Amino acid sequence: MKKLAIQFIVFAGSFFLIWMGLAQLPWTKWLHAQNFSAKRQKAMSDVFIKAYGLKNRSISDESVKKIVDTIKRRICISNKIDTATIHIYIYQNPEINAYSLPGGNIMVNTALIAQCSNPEMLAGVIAHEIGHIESGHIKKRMVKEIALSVAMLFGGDNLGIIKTVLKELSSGKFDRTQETEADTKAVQYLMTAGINPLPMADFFDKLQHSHGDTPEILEWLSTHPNSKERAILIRKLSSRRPYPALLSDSSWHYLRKATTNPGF
Amino acid sequence: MEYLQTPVNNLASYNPREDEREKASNGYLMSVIAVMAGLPLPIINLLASVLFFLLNRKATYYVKWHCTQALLSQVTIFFMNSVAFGWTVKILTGNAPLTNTYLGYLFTIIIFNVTEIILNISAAISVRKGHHKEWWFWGALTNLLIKPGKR
Repeated sequence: MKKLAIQFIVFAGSFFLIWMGLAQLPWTKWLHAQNFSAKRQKAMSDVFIKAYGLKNRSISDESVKKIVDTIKRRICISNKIDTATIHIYIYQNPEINAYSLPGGNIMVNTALIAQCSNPEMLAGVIAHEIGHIESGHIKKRMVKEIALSVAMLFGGDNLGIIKTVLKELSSGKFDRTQETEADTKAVQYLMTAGINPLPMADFFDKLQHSHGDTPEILEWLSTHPNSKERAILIRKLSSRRPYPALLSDSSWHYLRKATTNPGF
Repeated sequence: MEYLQTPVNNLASYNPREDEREKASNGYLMSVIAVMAGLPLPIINLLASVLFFLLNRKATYYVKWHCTQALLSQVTIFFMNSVAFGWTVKILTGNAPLTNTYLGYLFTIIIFNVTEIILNISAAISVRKGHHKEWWFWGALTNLLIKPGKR
């Protein structure tokens, strides 16, 4: 037994010695790999956007992009988030959904904008997705999904792996803790940006109570559980004070019209 | 198939039958083939070795001993490869930076994997010839786990 213990210590010791020895060599410099992670993420992000674009038509109206960008900039700048790291895309899609993809990309479906009664509701959804990105939830899910899909990758089904990961990411299946964290961050972001966070809670109530029987809403609610509790949390965290309007009425009506009637 | 056999107490001096040599040698070959097939996914080679070990759990002491030694070496490599696998996924998804420590680890496990393959091939050949091959550390561990019996 003593002999075995000594042999184990020598074995483990030699492993660590070789490892530490090799770690001293400047591999990253030799392999020119310093920017590997950033490049890899950018490439991955482009692949996901391209794959999503194959199924959905994006809204290319420059005025719409400008209005959405105004909301994004208001949230990001006030909260010291680099605006260049967040990209919002609007897609013509009947599913009431919005979600984040790797690379700081937020996809918002037109059906979700149609459900928003005011710009603050939309800002709440965007702030929530930024909350997921800033908390690193996307990366955590990516690790899980990619690990599960590696088998497909080695089976030669590269498109399959992208589709699977995309499907999982777009399903919005974050766990309860992550949703609460993103909601909490969203309320903080909105208040710091001087945007009323209460409409975000109203958005949850609206979906739950007014249209809870339509399949599209059920889909959204099934992937975003405990909407009632989340609305209560948002109201609890929100400070009730006067907030200035986020967008002018004309901008908001233009956004709604352009997204609900593309090509109007 | 049952065999009548005298108790084996010293494998080094034991002269295995032809079928025992073949089965014991296959235990190592199974590891080599599984390592080659399962390198990207560390679980595959371990599963193959576990399966082969289970299929031979009622075999003679000689066969069982060598299957166990092959399996134990696989378990060690499995843990090393699993760490590399998890670490690589984290880097690919931007959750960890690509560092010299990671690349040093990667090259270390490559050395250990290659060494293990060479050891397995060498053991498969020796065992097929009827020579007993007891590895350093894994051999001692196998002796601790597998005791000589009547089979």
